Amino acid sequence: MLEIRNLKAGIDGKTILKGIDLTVNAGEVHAIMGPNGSGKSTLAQIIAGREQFEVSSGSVKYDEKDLLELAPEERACAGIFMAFQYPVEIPGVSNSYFLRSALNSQRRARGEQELDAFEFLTFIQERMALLNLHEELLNRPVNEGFSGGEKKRNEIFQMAVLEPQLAVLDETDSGLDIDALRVVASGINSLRREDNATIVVTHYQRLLNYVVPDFVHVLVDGRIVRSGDQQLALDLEEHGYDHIIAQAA
Amino acid sequence: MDWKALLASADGPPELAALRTAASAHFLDRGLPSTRDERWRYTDTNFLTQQELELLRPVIKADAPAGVRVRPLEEAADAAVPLLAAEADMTHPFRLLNTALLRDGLLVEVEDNAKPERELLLTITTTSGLAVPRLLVVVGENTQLTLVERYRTDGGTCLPVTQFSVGSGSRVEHLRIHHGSNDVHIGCVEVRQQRDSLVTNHLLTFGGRLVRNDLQFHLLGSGAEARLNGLYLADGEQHVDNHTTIEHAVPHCDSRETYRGILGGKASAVFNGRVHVHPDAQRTDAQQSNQNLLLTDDAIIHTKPELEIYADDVKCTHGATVGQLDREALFYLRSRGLAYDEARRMLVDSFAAEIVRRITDESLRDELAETVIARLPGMLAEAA
Repeated sequence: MLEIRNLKAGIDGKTILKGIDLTVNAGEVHAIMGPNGSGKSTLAQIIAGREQFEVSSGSVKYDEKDLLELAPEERACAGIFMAFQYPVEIPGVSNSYFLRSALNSQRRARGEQELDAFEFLTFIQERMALLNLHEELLNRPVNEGFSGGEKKRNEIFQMAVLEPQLAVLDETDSGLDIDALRVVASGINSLRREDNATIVVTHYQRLLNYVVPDFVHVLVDGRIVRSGDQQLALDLEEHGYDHIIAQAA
Repeated sequence: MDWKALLASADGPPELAALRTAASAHFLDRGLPSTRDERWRYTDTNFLTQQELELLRPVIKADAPAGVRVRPLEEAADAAVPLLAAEADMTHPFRLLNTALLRDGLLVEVEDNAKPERELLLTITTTSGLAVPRLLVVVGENTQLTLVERYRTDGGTCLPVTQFSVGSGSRVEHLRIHHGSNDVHIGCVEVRQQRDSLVTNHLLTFGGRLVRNDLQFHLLGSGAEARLNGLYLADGEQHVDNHTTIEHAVPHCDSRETYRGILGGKASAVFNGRVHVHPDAQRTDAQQSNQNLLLTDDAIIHTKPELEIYADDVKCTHGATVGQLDREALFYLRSRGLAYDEARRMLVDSFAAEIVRRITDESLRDELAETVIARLPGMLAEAA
């Protein structure tokens, strides 16, 4: 589904990713872990299409397409979704209007019928139940005045509505208390299917107790220094990043 | 333009002749404002002197609910004269012109304790030439009025003046909507509020070659509150100037002023918000904000709060911002599948909606929200 080859990229002339190789197939969950500043979020944002980052070499293929050629909205319509580490507040735009516009935009791109207001409401009510969200949240402006936990839940709610093929969760666990973490994790798990894939970007192993990855990659200074299964995450939790970095060196 | 000849040709009810003559003399004495005058620094009207303006009569349509009496000025001149004379402003050049040519307009009266069921709709249509409509609105005590004043034009010069006198305990919602494109519109609104009255003004400008609005609110009775909401959209070479003054003359009055502007192309705009707290006006609570969204590098905004406070126990705040579309928000929307143009439209629209949503009447609110949306693609395409 996703094939990243020798990806080098940076921002403002500073190199952050120094040659990333990563293959993600349908049905898989990958965790990308690493200390602060290792390039985890940069990788997530490049997949989502943030234009500030410059790719100097390498390739990113998504379903045989050159992902780097696509605009952010084209990537979304092709089935890519990133849950933001810092979801953006958009005053004056209601959550439901925003989400219906986004969903219909994606449906149009796929040649599907748009949903009218009633069909949309029926559809999302079931999705809201997944994440324990109150209906009043639909009428509030996107993320405005939301608590940290509500923002993160709102990200996964959007994911539940948009049903991406490849979801990239950028530090979705940060700022969540244990109850909110459980709700978010069960939401993510209920969306797992044979034909989709998830990349979980996280600093801590905590979320991975609930969302169990098939592969764990450790990113240090712009390179993946170790890959393994869930055990690697547990080792990291026990010994810390320094230990892994020392081993890799 | 031969102003003298124009003013000499003024015609209308004889009861108003003395007022016309006095204003005429004042105008001829002063002439058009100079850009050296601080209030006209960014708005040069002297090109009007190069034009031959023919005085034309505006078409004023009124759709009045029961409980609201509406009469043409020509038929109600007797009743209008004392009102006009008592509040004659002999300093504003264009208001002077309006008074000097006074003829067309309406006297609107709402009696004490009346309960009009719906809004009063006024549509003022002008074409090329010069039009000087005058509205006198007298709202009694403990009553209410929603007045929609709508200007439609396809050119020409319109110098409308609207005066409100609002009695104790009354609530007024006033929408002044200007749908212009290639016209000159220089309007004045003056509001006098008595004790415990609430006046909400929504000033919505959708463009025009040159638009200038002067709003003056006089809070004359304790417990009075003025809410001024403004939205201005301009692109191309359009120019919109809003000057507001709130006179806090007595204690315990509130004012809330929120103006937002969206500028594209090479448009320019001015916001000047003056709040004047008189020495006796203790416990004044005045808040002002002006926010501007510039869609292009060539658009210009001059924003200036002007607080003059002569009382010591007051709360006055003001703030102004000038910004561009938020890149983070744009990326967020696009990352969910919204096309670039759609995402921009959504953000600009939401910026304007913050003002439009304050309109109480749902159908008016929806209609104006649509008007904003219809205006955006052109502004954004120009800015792309």
